[in-house]
Order: sequence, then structure tokens, then C-alpha cells
Amino acid sequence: MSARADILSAVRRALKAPPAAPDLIVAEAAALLEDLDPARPPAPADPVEAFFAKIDDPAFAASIERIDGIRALPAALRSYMARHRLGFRLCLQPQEELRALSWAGFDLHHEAAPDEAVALAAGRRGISETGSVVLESGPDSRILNLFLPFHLVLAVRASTILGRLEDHAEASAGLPPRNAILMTGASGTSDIEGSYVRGAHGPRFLHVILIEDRPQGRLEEVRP
Amino acid sequence: MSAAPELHPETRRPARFKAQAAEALASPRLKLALDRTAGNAEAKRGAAVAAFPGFEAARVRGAAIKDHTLRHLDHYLESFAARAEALGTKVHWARTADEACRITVEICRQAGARSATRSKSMLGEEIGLPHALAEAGIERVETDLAEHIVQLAGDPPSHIVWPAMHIAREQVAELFAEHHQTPQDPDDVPSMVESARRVLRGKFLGADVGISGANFLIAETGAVCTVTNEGNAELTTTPPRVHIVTAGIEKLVPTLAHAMTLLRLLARSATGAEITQYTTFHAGPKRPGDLDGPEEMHIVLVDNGRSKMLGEGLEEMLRCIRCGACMNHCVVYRQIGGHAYGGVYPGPMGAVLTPVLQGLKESRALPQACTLNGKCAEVCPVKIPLPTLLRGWRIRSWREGLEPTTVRAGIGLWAFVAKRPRLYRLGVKAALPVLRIFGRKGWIEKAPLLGAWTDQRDFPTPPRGGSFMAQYKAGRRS
Ligand code: SF4
Repeated sequence: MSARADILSAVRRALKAPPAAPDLIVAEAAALLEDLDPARPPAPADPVEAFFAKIDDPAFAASIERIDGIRALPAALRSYMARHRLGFRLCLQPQEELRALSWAGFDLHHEAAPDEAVALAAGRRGISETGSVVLESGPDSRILNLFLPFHLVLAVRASTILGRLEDHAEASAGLPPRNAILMTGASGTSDIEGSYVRGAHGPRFLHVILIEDRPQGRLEEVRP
Repeated sequence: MSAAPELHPETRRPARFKAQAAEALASPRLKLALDRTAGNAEAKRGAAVAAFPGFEAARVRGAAIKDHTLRHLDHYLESFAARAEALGTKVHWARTADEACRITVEICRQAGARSATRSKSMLGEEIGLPHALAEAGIERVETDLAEHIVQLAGDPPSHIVWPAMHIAREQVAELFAEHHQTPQDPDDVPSMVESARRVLRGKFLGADVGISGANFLIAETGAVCTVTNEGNAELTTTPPRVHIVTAGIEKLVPTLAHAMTLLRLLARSATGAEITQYTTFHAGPKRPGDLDGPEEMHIVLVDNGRSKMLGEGLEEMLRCIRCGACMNHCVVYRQIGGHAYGGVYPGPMGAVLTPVLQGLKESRALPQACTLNGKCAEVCPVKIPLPTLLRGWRIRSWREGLEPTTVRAGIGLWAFVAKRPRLYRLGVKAALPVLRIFGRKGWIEKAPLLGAWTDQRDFPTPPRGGSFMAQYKAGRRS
């Protein structure tokens, strides 16, 4: 017998009960996701504000700023790079929405070198529960551009910020991208005596730029 | 060069537990290293649990998700394999550790690999993959910082989350100075981390094959989830032409949404974080148009005793998400560290798993090395009744006649007396005053017949007021 058949029959023998009908299994699995609220952090009143506050917390291994629209992104990058004395050579993830901006004064390229100083990429969405930015591989996204640079800047649109981890699972239904990464702060390690050090293998610095793109901007959040 | 050079890695075995534990206890440096890291982890977990009022409900849900998946494991294995294959992943099945190693080495050979980067995987250790790669002449580059340290030291991991827990920073500095060939300052941990980053960067980009484990296998999509804080998994799995995943069959979860409850539990229980820095889902090889990623992706699904556990009363152990909390909170582990256990998995979960992997005859000392204080079960994020499972092994060991005759005779005598209440009470009454003679400051340092106990710890002096039964009768205890 093949190893596959052997393992499956060993499992079936061990389970003793006859196999359940697939739709029963699906129903049982779905029931495990019902009434989940007591078992997870509460839903944020405003996911965008919660996302900002989460990353802005000094204990979180990243920094965050807001801009009023995607067109302000190059200026935000310019001041970030100047603040950290990084020069103006920028590795830009070749995403259409980023390439379409005006990058005058930058020296752009799209493939990170092993000692890349800084890269910019656009996140697919944000999750306020954990302060994570979701990044996906694809024809316009090189995974290594997210891991080789010393500084990584991630742009996320406010309209894509979700509350909890399950919201992300729901939003990403369908064929998964080859790589989907929930990135939460800069790379870190506590492998030497448990003391926390930033920048183990991935970026040492993570900066998130939150792009306000909701119809009435931030005013919308002011509820009566 | 290792933290405890007096321990000999090549001869450590579960059967030598007693001697290994004695050696570990004699190493003050080991105790220091354990207290620094495990103490830190314990405090951080405590804070994270306190900050999450839903933790208890999440544990119940997490255990139920794992139980459901295990109850329908055949169904989930088949659907995972079908989805993964549809994504272009090649799925392999391995009944045993040897078979898993053979498959993995063969994939490396087919790829013409001279070097393989590896992202920390306890399953890889379990099946003996480091050894198999070495035998096949394939250079193995451990990329997790702690695994890199233990590889340089020539040690096996001593903890499932912090493999280098037994190594103090001064020794890391010595190892790096020698192998990175640059001077190191033991008081400057960040620059040591930087040194490893520099050395490993080149290895990542030059490897032919990248090997990872899996924290979860998502049945619904065929994706493999890895979690790291360093970012080494992505650097291991992206540049090489071939990505191989080795994973135990118990890693399945029904859907991505189910994985979320377990991710909440895992990060908090392991490091005290809400989620790991990099939670990555790998779904097949590079697609047309993708800018990077491996040309081939392989998954080796490993049984190695798991289907047996499922049928023999150890199914609860298959819930384990390898968070390490049980060992961080174990009074025995905190004294002796991971190496003394002599198996791949240390601490309470290791004491349950090692008899499965290496046989009860070889490992019968491990389930005994437990005070049954219940701390491990209290912290386990998926509610595994570890003390009950350990007791199960003890009973089995007794039934199979594996206990040495002195123990059998001693317990036989105790049982004889215990079944005769009056005789028992008489014995206790006679023993109490004697024990008090040996007691100083409430703890007994030495007493006849208690040598094995008092060598490493003190025996509490019996309280005044007589035995439990005497106090109970006098109405002072309830
Ligand atoms: S047995 Fe529980 S506490 Fe121990 S590693 Fe497994 S999940 Fe964590």
C-alpha cells in the first residue's frame, strides 16, 4: 500500500467511528466560529482609529503617520528618508498605484539589493486588533522587497482597515495569493537570553503611512 | 563551547534522565540562563493573558477546534492534499521519521542541492532531518537565530520556542567570534544579532533549497502557515528554487478563520505577544507573472506515531500547538533545562511525547520526572490534561513491568499498609516524630531512606499537630 493509503487507513482505524458526511463536518466546523466574541478581543468602535493607536503605542515595534491622500505619499517618503539620513535611493514595490505617483527627485528601482536601505510597498489591508498590515505576492509584488531592506515603509488605505483577524479571513475568501503575510511590526528576536532586539533578519524599522481615502475624510468619523 | 560542556550531546538519552538531570543541576550557569529566559517568558505570558479577558474562552474554543479537526482528520487530510495539489504543491506522505527524511533528501538530490537553508521546525528535529542532510552531504544552514547558535555550538535545541535557552550571552559571543570571525561584545546583544544577520544574509540568497515546518495547515485552501518574529521563514522559502515543508499530520485546521483563534493563543502563550511579527501563508509555488518565489513547493505530511496516539488515548496531546508554556512553567524544567530529558521535546509535553517516539522502556523516567502540580495544564492554551496523560504513562509503565524491583517492592509495601487504615495510621504516627528530629527551619536536608529526594531539595518538616487524619478528626482540617 502507498504511504498515503496507509496513513489514511491508520487514521480511520484509530478514529473508530465511521466517517461523517462532509456536509455534517462543514456544519460542525461552522458552529465553531459562531458566537466567537467572548473568545476574542472586542470589536473596535472605529477600526481606523484603533489601528492608528495600536501602532502608535511606544511598545509596538513600528511608527505610523497619516496623510490626506495617496498623492502626498512621495512627500511623506521624502521627509522620512531625510529624517533617517537614507539618501533618496528608494526601492519601490512595482505596484501600479505607487508607480503612478510623481517621484521626481528620487532614485527609484524595483528590486531590493541584499543591503537595501529603504523600500516602500502598499499593503492590501490593515487589521486593527493586532496592528498588522496584510501583504500579498503577485506580478507587482516581490516578497524579498519586504524582507531585505533595513527600513520598510508600508502604505495602507484607511478604507481597507478591518477590525479583527476573522474579518481578514472573511475578506480574503477565494483563491489565496501564493504568499499572504500578516506583518506586525519590525523584525525582532529574543533568542539571546530573552532580551528583545529589533532587526533580526527582516527590516529593523517599520513605518506605516495611513492614507485617508474615505469619502469625507476624517470628518466622517465624528459621530453624533 | 556549549553552555554545559559536562553534558555530552551524543550520549544523551531519555533512559539516562537521572544522571543527566544530576549533571544539569550541578551547573549554576545553566540555572542562570534558564531563569533569565524562562522567567522572562513566564512574566510576558502572564501580562498578555491578563490583558485579554477572552483568553479562557479562547482556550475552550481552541481545544474544540483542534478536537473537531482530529475527529475528522482523514477528511481534512484528504481535502488539504487535494487543495494543495491544485495549487501546484507536490504532497508526499511519510509513515515514519526515516521515510520523511528519505523523501526530503531525495527532493534535495533531485534539485541538485548543495546547501539548504532551514527555518526552525521541531518536526524536522523529531524526524532527525539535520542528521539526514549531513549524511547526504548537503550543507544545512539554520536561519532562526537560536537555531544558528545551537548549530554553531553543536547542540540540539533545549526548548521548543527558545532552542538556545541553555546558552548564556557570553557563550554566544565566544561562538560568534570564532565562527563569524569578528570580535564580539557579550554585553552588546544588538551587535551580536547584527553579526548573525550579516553572515546569514549571504546564505539565504545562495541556498538551493529552503526547508520550513508548518504551524498550521489550512484544509480549506491548501496553504501552509508559518509564524516567526525574525522574518527568517520568508527569507528561507522565497529565494531558493525549491521550498520543502515538513509537517505533522496534526497541524491541520479547517479554515483560515479557525486558525485565527489558535494564532491568538499561540503568540500570547509563547512570547506574550498578541500575534507574531510575521504570520505567513504559503500557497503553492511561484505563479505565472510572480516576481519571486520557489519554482517547486513540496509538503511532506508526517505520521510518525500520530495515528497511533489518536487511537490509544493520547489524542488530546495532538492538540499541542508547540507554544512552550508548559515547560516555562514547569518546576522540573526550570531546574534542569531541556537537554536532561534526552529526547527532542522537553518538559511536560516532551514527557508525554517521548515515550511515543522512543518507546516507554527507553523513556519511562520522563513521566516520573513530574510533581503533578498541575501548572502545565493550567497554562496550556489548548487545555491538554498533561498530568493525566503523564499519570497514564506511569500506570502503563507499571503494568508492563518496566519499573525497577526496588520501586515495585516499596510501592507494594505502601499499598499493603495503605489498604489497612489502622496499620497506615500507626505507621504515620510513628514516622512523624522521627521526621521532625531531622528537620531544621521547616525543611529536612537529610534523613534515612530519603537520600534520592534530599540530594537536590529539602523535604518539608511535618507540621505540628499530628498527621492529616489526626487533625481532621480533631476538626482542624476540612
Ligand atoms: S502541551 Fe500545551 S503548553 Fe505545552 S507546548 Fe503544547 S500547547 Fe503549549
